[in-house]
Amino acid sequence: MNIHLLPLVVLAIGIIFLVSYAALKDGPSEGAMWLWHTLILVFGIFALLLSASKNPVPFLRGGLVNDGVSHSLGLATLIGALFLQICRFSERKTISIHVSILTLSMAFFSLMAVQSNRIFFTTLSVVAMMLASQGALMNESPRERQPDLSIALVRRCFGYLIGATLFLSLCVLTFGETQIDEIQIHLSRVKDSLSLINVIQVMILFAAMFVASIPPVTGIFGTSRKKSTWSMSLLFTAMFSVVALQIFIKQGLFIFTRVSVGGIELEPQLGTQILHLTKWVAGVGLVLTPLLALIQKNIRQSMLIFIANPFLQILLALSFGTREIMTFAMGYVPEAILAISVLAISSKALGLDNGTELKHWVGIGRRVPAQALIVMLALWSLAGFAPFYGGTLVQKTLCINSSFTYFLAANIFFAGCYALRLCVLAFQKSLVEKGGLFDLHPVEKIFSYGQVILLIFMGIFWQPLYKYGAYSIRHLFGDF
Amino acid sequence: MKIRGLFCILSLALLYGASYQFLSTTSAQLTLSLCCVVMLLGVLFFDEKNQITSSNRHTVLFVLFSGILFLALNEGVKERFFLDIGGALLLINLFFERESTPWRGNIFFRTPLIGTLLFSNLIITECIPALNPEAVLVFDLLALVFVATQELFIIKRANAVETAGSLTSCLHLILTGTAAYVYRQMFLPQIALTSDTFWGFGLALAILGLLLSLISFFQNEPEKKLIYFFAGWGLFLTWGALFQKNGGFTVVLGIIFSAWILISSRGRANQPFSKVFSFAGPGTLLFVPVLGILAPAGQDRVSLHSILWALFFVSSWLGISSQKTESPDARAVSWKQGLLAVFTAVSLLIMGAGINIDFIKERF
Repeated sequence: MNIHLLPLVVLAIGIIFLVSYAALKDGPSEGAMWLWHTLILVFGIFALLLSASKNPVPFLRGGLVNDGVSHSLGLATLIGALFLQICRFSERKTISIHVSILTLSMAFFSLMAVQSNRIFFTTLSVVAMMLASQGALMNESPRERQPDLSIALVRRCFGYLIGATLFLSLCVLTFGETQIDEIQIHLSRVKDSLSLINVIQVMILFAAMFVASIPPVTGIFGTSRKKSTWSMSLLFTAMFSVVALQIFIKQGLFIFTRVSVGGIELEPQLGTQILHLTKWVAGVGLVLTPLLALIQKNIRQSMLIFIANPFLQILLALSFGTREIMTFAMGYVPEAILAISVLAISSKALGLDNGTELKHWVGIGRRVPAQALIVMLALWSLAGFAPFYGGTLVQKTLCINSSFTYFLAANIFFAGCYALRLCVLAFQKSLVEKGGLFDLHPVEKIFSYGQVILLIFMGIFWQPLYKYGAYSIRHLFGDF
Repeated sequence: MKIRGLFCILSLALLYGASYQFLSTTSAQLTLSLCCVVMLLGVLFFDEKNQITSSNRHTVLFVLFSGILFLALNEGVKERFFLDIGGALLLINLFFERESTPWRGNIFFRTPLIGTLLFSNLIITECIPALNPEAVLVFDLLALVFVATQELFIIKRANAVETAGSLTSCLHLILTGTAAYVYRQMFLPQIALTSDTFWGFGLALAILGLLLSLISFFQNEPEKKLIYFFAGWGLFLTWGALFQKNGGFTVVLGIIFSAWILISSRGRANQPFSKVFSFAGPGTLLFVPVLGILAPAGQDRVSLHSILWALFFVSSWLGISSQKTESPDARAVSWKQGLLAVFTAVSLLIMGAGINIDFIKERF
């Protein structure tokens, strides 16, 4: 068997094992299910690390590929899934078997989407991710809301499938293929209608915006995250954002650009506008995301919007197509996932439910100071401030001579205002005596402390992340 | 507590070892790292109320701060250096928010995080290539001023300082002095010394300092007087580091002494800190670096600034003399503060006797 298939095989066997375990064992122990689930993810991560190669390796007859970017993003999704499991350590007895299987399926399909070399596979994987994630989120919602959520899910899936079918048809009509590297070769050899190619580019960008819920597009979740657990809401969103990054990079930048001869930048093929359009998407998203988060009164909603911030900073950095900045950007992906995980685990201690508004937030840091401080650090990290890795990326991106960097400067200001407001309010005098605080399990506490220390250290000693980013970029685009 | 103390000492030793082995590329950086170790060990030693070792979070903050400071000292690129300073500032101010007394109201001049936000925006925005070198210089200098005046951002909730203890003030001061000194030594372009903007900024610093002391003079609350004084003192160190040609050694002395004094005298909750005011007065420990920094350097513009700074100190001392005497308990001097007094005497003797300390000065 090809070693590069190992992570997917491990996860697939894991899903089959969990299903069989649940079916054969009458009333399986939830703790055991949690443990098996975690072990499968750990094995999956090890398998992915094992499959890292020096050269891009296409396998499964070109359907999947294990290049640097796929490896990096795949690792990010699996780590996100593992963090989700650890975040739910104290809830392990209440997690239903269905949710466990759906969560693992979500990890499997996100890895599949990330490693796919065909637009067709990615599209199908995204639909499967939507179904798995919404199923898990719905399972945690109140029973009376479930029919409404189901209808909304069907509508969204249907809409996405119609768009995807149209898009795939256009791809086949134009390029005769949906395989990414074949399309790239086709574009460099054949002169197609530029207007048709531009339509395809716009559709790719829109699909990625939809998957990542980049403002002004509302995304796939709708209201399904409102009543679900906090960790699942945040980390599912993060996993979708990673998949969206894959769509931006592989289906967008990789197809429609080429390495400029003797240069250190990517240049668009055939005069296509992909880099420019991506800059607009990222720029508008960068301004809207913190602003939308700022105007929200509901804390949970505002944080769910705000976690798109690091991914937009990464996207803007990637859209310049400069080797060094792209390298920094790819290094930021694991740090962003870590920050979101920190936010997920520590916010749980603050008892953030759907009804938590700004007035409830006031003084929350006085009741659970340690965890509140960790949440604040995570927020500043997501905003892109020093001493976290994001600060380095932001600074490097701003060094580029482009008017789009003003969007980033505005983003830093507004994101800082958002983090500042939450910090200041958290340590003021409390306005309401609201209970609902959640006592974290010691394992979760240790995990959150460890994570936040790691978050700071990854920001201070950024070189390993940079090198990992360099590995990712070199193995997708080659040496510039 | 002893274990935490040992952990801090061990961390400092490791940090110095790491900077010796991996980080420092020049002998000046190595000397600065050594000074930093001495200063931080002194802070640990003179910590009157054992603030650093009283809890895990204080110890972690101290060690993290020390680590970032060592990194900042040894950075070779200005952008990275400012990022380190920004990171340290964020950690200190978040810690301050967590430790200070709860409050309510609008955020202006009530939270130091606004200062952090402004500082971070300045250092990030100055990377935009559209800015001309002069604008970048202004951004750099403004960023240093924001570091120096961090405590002004909490002027409307002065009692919070008392509750938070002196640890955050001490760390702010260390950061202020180090940022200005390292910036001058490593990153200030030589051409800036001929720029009118640069010298105009020096004058603005002195005027701002004087303004702060005048405002402080009319304040009745000792806490506010203290904040104004320390903001002014931070600006004075910044000015000394940037504009005084031969002031390097005394600026370093100023940073070290003021950090030690702060940590040894401001840990007492619910007591006025008026003792600290007198520290920059004649015959006190801080008076040594004041004399060194204000010593004539043979430049007219610097002399004008020096006069303004002298007025700043006179105004501050007058403000202190009008203040009510502190409680008998606050007047009591501990053995550590006594030791600091011995340092004063030794420093004055060295300066007074004109002992040749050029071998040290060469390093600065």
